[in-house]
Amino acid sequence: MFLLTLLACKGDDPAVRTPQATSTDPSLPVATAYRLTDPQLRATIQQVLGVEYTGVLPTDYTLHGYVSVGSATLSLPPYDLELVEAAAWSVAETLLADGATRDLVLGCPLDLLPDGEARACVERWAVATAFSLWHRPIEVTERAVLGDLFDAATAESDRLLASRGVLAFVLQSPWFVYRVEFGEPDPETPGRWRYTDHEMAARLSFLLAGAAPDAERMAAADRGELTSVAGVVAEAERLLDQPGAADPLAGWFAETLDLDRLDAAVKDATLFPEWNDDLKLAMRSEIELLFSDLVVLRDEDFRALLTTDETWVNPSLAAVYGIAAPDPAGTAWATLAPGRGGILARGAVLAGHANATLNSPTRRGKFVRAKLLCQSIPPPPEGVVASLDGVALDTTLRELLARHSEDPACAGCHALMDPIGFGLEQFDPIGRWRELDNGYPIDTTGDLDGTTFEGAEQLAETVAAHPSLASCIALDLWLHGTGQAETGPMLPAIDEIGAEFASSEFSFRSLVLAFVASDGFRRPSPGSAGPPTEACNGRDDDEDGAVDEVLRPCGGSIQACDDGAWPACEPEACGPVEILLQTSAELQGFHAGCDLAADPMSPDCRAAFHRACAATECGVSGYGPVTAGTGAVALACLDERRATVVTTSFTELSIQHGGCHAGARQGPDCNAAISRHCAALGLTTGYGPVENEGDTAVIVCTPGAWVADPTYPVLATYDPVCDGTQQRWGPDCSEAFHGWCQDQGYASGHGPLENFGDAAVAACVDGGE
Amino acid sequence: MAFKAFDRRTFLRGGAFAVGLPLLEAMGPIARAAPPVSPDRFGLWFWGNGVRLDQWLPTGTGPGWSPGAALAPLADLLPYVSPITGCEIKTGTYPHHSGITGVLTGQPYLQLGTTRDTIISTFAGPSVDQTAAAFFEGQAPFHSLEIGISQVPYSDEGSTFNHVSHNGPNSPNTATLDPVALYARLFGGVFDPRRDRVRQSALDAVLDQANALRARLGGSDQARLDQHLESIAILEDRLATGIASCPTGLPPTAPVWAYGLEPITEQNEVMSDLLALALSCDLVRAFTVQFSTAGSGVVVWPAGAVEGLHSLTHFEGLPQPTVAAAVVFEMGCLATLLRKLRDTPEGDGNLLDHVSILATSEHTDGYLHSYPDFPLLLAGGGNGRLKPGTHYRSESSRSTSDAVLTALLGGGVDVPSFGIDAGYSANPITELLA
Repeated sequence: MFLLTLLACKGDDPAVRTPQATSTDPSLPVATAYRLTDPQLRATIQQVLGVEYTGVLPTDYTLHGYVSVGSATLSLPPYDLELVEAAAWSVAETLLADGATRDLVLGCPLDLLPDGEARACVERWAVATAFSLWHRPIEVTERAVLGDLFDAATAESDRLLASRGVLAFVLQSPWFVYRVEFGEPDPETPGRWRYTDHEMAARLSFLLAGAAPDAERMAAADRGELTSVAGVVAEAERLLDQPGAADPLAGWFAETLDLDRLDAAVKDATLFPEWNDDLKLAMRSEIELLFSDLVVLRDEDFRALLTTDETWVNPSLAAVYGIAAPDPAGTAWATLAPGRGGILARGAVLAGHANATLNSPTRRGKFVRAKLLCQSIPPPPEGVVASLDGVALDTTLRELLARHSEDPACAGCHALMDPIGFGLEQFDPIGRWRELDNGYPIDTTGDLDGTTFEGAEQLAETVAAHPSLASCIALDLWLHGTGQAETGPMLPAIDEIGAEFASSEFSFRSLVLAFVASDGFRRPSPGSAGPPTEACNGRDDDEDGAVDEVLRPCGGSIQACDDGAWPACEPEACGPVEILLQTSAELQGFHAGCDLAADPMSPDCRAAFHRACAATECGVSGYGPVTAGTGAVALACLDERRATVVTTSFTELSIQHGGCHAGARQGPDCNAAISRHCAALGLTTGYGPVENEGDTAVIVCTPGAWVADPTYPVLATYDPVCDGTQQRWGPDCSEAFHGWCQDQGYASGHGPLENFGDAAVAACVDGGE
Repeated sequence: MAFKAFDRRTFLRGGAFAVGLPLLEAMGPIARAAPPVSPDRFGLWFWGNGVRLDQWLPTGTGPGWSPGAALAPLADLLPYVSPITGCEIKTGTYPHHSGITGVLTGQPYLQLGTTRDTIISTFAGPSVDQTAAAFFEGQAPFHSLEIGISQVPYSDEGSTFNHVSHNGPNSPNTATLDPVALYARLFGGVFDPRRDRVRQSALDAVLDQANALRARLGGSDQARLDQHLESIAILEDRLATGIASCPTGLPPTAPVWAYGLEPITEQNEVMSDLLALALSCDLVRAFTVQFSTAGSGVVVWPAGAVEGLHSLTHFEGLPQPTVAAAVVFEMGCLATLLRKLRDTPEGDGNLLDHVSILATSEHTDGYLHSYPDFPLLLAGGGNGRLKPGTHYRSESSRSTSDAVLTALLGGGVDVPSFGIDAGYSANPITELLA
């Protein structure tokens, strides 16, 4: 399909665009699946899972100047699929490195849970993860797929490998690898389709943040805010205001100017010994930084790029520009002397569009036509030898190129290019200023569509004033932002966006907002594929006979769509009792005296448990070990609803039970004293001491706990050591009380509060309602 | 949902000679015929931008041929190499695009649009290496290998200009450019059957989901999902086959650019080594070496170039001595691979005896973009199927598909024909077949 205005080289007015549209239907068939690009995959994995993947991913593919256009045509051939599978497993094995790390990620002690609960825990986590990575509500049947995969894989291996397998599946899913868009009929405009809220969240986020929508964007989609123009614009503004928003847009600008071309640019090593990768990279960075700073962050007139005297240079690029390096160790902002002007007279353009030994006014002129004015020039006729090899250079390059205008076979096209490039003849093939060309004075007069100029600055002003500039930049953004190569029928709409850009004094922000608000960005053609993806809206969108069979995460749990709407999702400030895994080293950071191997019930360790839980976001205290080990233990952390820290004294405690005093600071008798003290305060029961010094004892009351007597014979079924004979109070009983309370439907428990004979009274917390 | 039972078995290969061992019936879905003493193999070696015809053409036909300047680097390999001259592309004349798709698929290109002053296209069907890969499917752990020598970035004229090996439209097989990654892929697999079974389970779930998604997509997107599903099946087959145990040396290091110059010679050396090793371990039966892409801008500096080769073919003054030197250099790189294969003993001979390699480009003369007298070389003995060391010259402008079919048959790829319509051939060059 036609993209650029192909100039006929016969004296036509090149400013007039003559699109060769093959279709008159303004609604174009569009691709429904875009393969995520390499940077999009990495950024999304980082954003959702916190894992930086550095391995190889499938190669992107540039079409019409943009990988986003290429991504609409790509599949996963065997090797690419292999790379995706390897990446999925690598990420899964990094995130779920071992059992303890996995439990932290999943939020449950997976190996301690019975089968059904383990599956439920994995489903909760996997649905929430898929919701973020697939950026849409998850169907009820998909939750079952995730659970079935976990069960099947557990049967083949173990719960660690199985949970990795579940994550690897979510990451290999076509719903992650592709951005899939079906659209839906627009209820407000019969006969037309629109992208759904979640599809719009993804379109906006990938365009402006370079990654899948984050939680805030997904919440806006859940609220149904992204199908309206106002909602889209508001969301785009939020994204543009985010830190780092300039990066994906600078990537677009680099593609637009084809800065990759610099990578392959070769210069004669004798003439230009300074030409190396460092300099090439500096030239590329200069353009990207100028764009990010001037155009995105400062939202100055886009045309300032063509005229600015600002620059970002490292020492090697500063040397090319003949200025002192502002930072001898890196890249920094500086200003250039008058006469050079904006990006047309910078290294990336000058060196990227010159030959190895000589300038090329033709290539430089062609660059301006193609990249800034969206005009294309036909190739030279077959058989034309354009080489200057062996030509005696006893004059300026401009004089040599005069034959372009003398030979009628060349003149038509070269008249459209060379006179533009002549304006940049003051700069050599790597962009240095020069006074003479081959020993002769330089003539920098030129012409662009009837406007004559002299030198780089006037050329830049002429380009900035060119009537094709605004719509060309709009076309470039449209191509990249839609990924659609079929622009022909859309050109009037694109020109409208360009006109808005121009009337906003070339505010790039206005251009972006006009683009995302346009039908081209918000609407697919009717029913180009489908049916739509199921949403929570009271309809059977996917035509599978079930209405609203979708789920979304809310806090630590999963919600089902209810009667066409999501239930309110205002998770409590803090969730249920949190099981916290702590290594021996971490605990020693909380109390140096805690030696798990020697005695996990020592006052120092119990102080460390308490402090470790208090250091979590929600916890105010905690106890343990609820799973014992010498290298690490699991703790139960209680939030302020479930724990009240009370400072008292051993003198006070000894009143409740004579066996607890400054000479006997913990054990079954102190447990009884503390439980009774809390009860006396109206706080049910408690544990401790969690801190003690001199006569001072800090205890923790657990108001609302369920107090019951499991008895030692029953506790022994949880841990044979806790049988009332070998142990009545200690690490094994601590695990047993916790396990028994869990089986009664509580999140955790501690004890014994009281003990006598077989009696062993427990306090179970969080649950039982 | 139901998951497949894991009845697949893994087995370890014992190295180069293990292929002749009886295979376990329990290997599952892969049906194998009893392999010959040495496996059949087909290779494609592609370089971009054609040749200088006057330097390319050999003198003398039949077994007594002598190389011109371009083929001089193959001097010590003449008994293994058969130049095929006088053939031409029958499927179109568009510069570059018609040539690469014509020779490699026997079909015209599939145009996707226009850009700048030219077209965007992709392959309409599989390239010849994938015809071979499909034939060999299941006989070796890797479906096919695609190896890249020059890293110079591609042009924007579609996958036709980006890649040599294709499965079909918009489904290119990206050539691996990093020897470290290639080594890890070929030889670095960890033998962990429990993990592999979970990988299978995850892939099965992806397969189900992709199938369901496919049903909802439009036509062209459906074809993309078909490729995705096919790729999953290929990886599942590999998992079922198990990893190979192959005696390897130390992992290679990736050659680095110095002074802005691409390490072409070093890259060709290390990649050719890895390919020879992979073949000797029978890890793969079909391969492509993409020295450079169609219209590649590779700077062949060892031949004295300071500009990209594509640009040179357009703009260097006749008789284009630098372009000619670049072709000599490229043939030297091909010779490096052939020599390594010749020097690797296998069975009753060496690897080169047991392979059929087609070497070609996307047109004859880069300056003219001409298609008559297309550059074609056939190397290797094809397990006795080929008569190597013979210069065949067509005096009737035969189709390049005749030559390609000959190369396939020589590699034991028993297909009745190659190409369609104007590019159709069921007519191999019998003079080159034993």
